[in-house]
Amino acid sequence: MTASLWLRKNERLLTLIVSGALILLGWLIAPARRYLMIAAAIVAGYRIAQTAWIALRAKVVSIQLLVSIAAIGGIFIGEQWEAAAVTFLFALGNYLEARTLNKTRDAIQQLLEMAPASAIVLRNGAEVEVDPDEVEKGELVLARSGTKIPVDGIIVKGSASVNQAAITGESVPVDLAEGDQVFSSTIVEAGYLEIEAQRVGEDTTFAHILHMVEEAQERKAPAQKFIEKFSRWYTPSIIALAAVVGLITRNLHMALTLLVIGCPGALVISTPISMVAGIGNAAKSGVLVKGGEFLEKAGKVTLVAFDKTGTLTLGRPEVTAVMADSTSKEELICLTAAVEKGSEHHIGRAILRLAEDLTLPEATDIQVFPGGGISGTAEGRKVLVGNPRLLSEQGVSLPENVKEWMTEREGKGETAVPVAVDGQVLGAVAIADTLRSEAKEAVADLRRSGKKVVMLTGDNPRTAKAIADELGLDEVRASLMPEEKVKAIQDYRSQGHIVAMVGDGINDTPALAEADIGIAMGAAGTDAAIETADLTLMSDNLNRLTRALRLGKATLNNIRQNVWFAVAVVFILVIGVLGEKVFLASGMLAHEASVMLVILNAMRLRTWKPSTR
Amino acid sequence: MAAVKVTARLENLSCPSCADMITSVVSKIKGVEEAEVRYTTSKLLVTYDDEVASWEEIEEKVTKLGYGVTSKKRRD
Repeated sequence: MTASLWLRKNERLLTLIVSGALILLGWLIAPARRYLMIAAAIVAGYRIAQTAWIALRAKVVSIQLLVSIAAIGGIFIGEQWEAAAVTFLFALGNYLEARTLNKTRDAIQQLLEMAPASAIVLRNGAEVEVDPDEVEKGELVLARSGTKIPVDGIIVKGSASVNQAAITGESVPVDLAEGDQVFSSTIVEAGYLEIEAQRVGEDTTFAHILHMVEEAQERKAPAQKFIEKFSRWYTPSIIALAAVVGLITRNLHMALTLLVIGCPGALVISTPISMVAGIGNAAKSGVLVKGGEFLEKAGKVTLVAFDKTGTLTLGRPEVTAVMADSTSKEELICLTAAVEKGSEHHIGRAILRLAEDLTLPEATDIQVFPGGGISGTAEGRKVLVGNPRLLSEQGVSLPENVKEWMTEREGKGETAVPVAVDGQVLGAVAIADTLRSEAKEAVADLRRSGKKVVMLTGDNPRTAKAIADELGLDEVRASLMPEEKVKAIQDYRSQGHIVAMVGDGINDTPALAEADIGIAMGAAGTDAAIETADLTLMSDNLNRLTRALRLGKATLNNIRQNVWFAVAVVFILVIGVLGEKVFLASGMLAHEASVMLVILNAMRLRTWKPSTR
Repeated sequence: MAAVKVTARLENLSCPSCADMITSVVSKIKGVEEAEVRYTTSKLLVTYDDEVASWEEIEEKVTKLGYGVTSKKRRD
């Protein structure tokens, strides 16, 4: 039983060995050469002919049919060696290609291996080991040192250093404690955690990543569709050409050789293989790409537009100063925080953090002005918090001393927001957000690679200018409303730029969609952002951006090399056959060798790393 | 009738034309409503009426073509 199973599993390899040995013997034993070669052709060609026959019965003209005709024809015209070589090389080529390709396809397999195998949950006070898919939402999951976290959830007790490479691609562990979010498939390196399960099995971020990578690998780029169309046209044309050549010149040898090169192998695989390898590489480094075409586009980007908050900055602004005029600072903060309560805006949240210990009055009539500010009524007074544009729209004038104070803060790269109560400006709040430590280096890196780097922000021009100077940006557009960001991107595109927009994926949705390629960063756990963006950086690190763009460039180059090489091979082969320089064996050898070279070239992308300069 | 959807992983799939060929051959099996072979991930996605066709029949056909099935999963 096991022997026959082994035989079945290794049939292809055995066929190759036997047929190869027969060919070798044929060369050694001249008198029996003809018969040994025919035997070799039958051994190697039996499966090929079987496939051809089944396909033919389903009315499909397969590559295998062309090879079979060439081999049988070869024997018929007395070229037994050529027939043996054609079948042997075809079988060998397919065997090697399939094996190599499986390595390229295994990006998913490698990711799958990161998935947790079991989970320990607390049920009725006892620890129970279950399959990660069987954990119920809301259950308490325990994770100890050296184990994988099996669910997405919130830490309710304990602390640990966690390696989140499976999600973010960053292998440096992060310290997490009570209240922090954890993800399935990340590893507890040291510590102990009790986690409340929130998302389980197919709903976890990790499962989504796997699903997305697979979809991305299957998604066909426009170039690929074109090549596939071409190949559907190419094969029948070569058959027709072979028939015409055979009939006119009576040169059967040449006609058969044309059949052998009738499969545009290297050309059809040139694009998809490089893309699959590139997407796999990206996924392992925490970069999710929606499809190969976006990786290609990432390689063509000439202008990178950044959102400011949460992208170039950490997105955790803090109040740095408060200025109060004819009221106390505390009173001002109290009123401001009251209307900002429940606000999702980063300025609002910064003010709320400052007011944490104060008892806030109840606010009513809350009205949000997107890109402007917020208003509401607290303690019977109408409070308006927003930028000067909103204030003047509401008929509130900005006193000179507040304006001066704001100008001073903005010159330091801070954001100053005036607060008006009952139509009168009583003071202002200054807020600053810390720039990411790697922002400057990332911007410099992008500029070195010849890209224009700009910032699009809703913030005021002075603050924006201060940050732009600090980071060395090429250009900055400030005081933009969300729709003006879209307009700015249209501008850049009409100037001929290929624009990448980088944002947090939540506030910038329209701009991300308008850009040639929308990039969301720090998106682990926010499915909406992943949904919107063409390319998602799971980790919250700008260095991943430059890496992703470089990988795009490497993929683009790889595809170009492959396509040009493949086109050249097809061209040379057709010329060679028509000029009677290439025959069955050499035609098949060139064909299979070119396919193999294209695959090997694409495989380089699997292990590609940015060169350190 | 009940439409069954199966995703299977194939081995030995080396060229896109072969993927097209398998797609055509499987599509023509009686009872198969939809078939697609994805070259880049080496997957066969097939929908068939389990009163007319069976998975065994499909698998046998694909195996005979020279492409082994390494795993299969029902999709719903």
